[in-house]
Amino acid sequence: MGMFDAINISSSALAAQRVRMDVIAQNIANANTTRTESGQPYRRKVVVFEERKQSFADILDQKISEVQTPSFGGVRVKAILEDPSPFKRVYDPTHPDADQNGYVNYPNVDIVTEMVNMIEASRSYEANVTALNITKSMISRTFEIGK
Amino acid sequence: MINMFDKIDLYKKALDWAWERNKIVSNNIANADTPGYKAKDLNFRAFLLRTLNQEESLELVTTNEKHIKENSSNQDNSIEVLDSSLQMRLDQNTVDIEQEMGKLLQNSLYFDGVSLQLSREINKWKTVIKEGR
Repeated sequence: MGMFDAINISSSALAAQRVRMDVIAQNIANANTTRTESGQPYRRKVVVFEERKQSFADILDQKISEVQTPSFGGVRVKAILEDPSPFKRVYDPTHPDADQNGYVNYPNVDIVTEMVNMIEASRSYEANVTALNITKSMISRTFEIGK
Repeated sequence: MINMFDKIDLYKKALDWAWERNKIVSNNIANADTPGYKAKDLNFRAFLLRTLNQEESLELVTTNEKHIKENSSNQDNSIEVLDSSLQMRLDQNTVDIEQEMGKLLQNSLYFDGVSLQLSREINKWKTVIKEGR
């Protein structure tokens, strides 16, 4: 029963939401990038979350303690994958990256989708900050027992 | 003679439960965007049964064979339970953020209440030790 377990859980979520925010910012920043290192237009990136499994120390702690309580590790970023959906094709023969038919491949980034995801990420972040504050107040409350 | 720490121990167990539950609800909120995650909760009855001494049973006492027995097989005795009342989203996640925030608040108020009672219990014994002075 670690004292800061709950804080670690909430902070893992804060870190994960931050990574998500970074990736969304990267997507928006590259919404018009037609040339990347690979020569292809920019592909939209997606963050995949995964429940963080407990460490060896956690499992050992759990086996030693007399009451078998479940133990949790929070959340972590499993992978940052590329969105395989097709590029947006725009007719613009004057563009240097246009093909022989005059079409340019633009990144498969939809600004509206990114904005919605950004709001979702920031709301999740807020929810986890609230959880963190509640844990903090519970800990400081235990210090006042017997006063 | 009454054991002076009996009640204190009971409050301690209630605080333990709230503390563990806070962890589980925090974990649910942390995994609100994890595909396939199922919301969990802590079973108060099972937790209390396992922390209390074995002689203190919470089973119903029957004095006649015709008394209806408590169906213990029907009771979920696992400490950690899946919350099946929630609706599953398309990504197989069952976390309802509003419900989890509500649980978090409830739990923290419960914790505050029990710790206040514990403080008062301790202060009572302090008064006794100081002979009421």
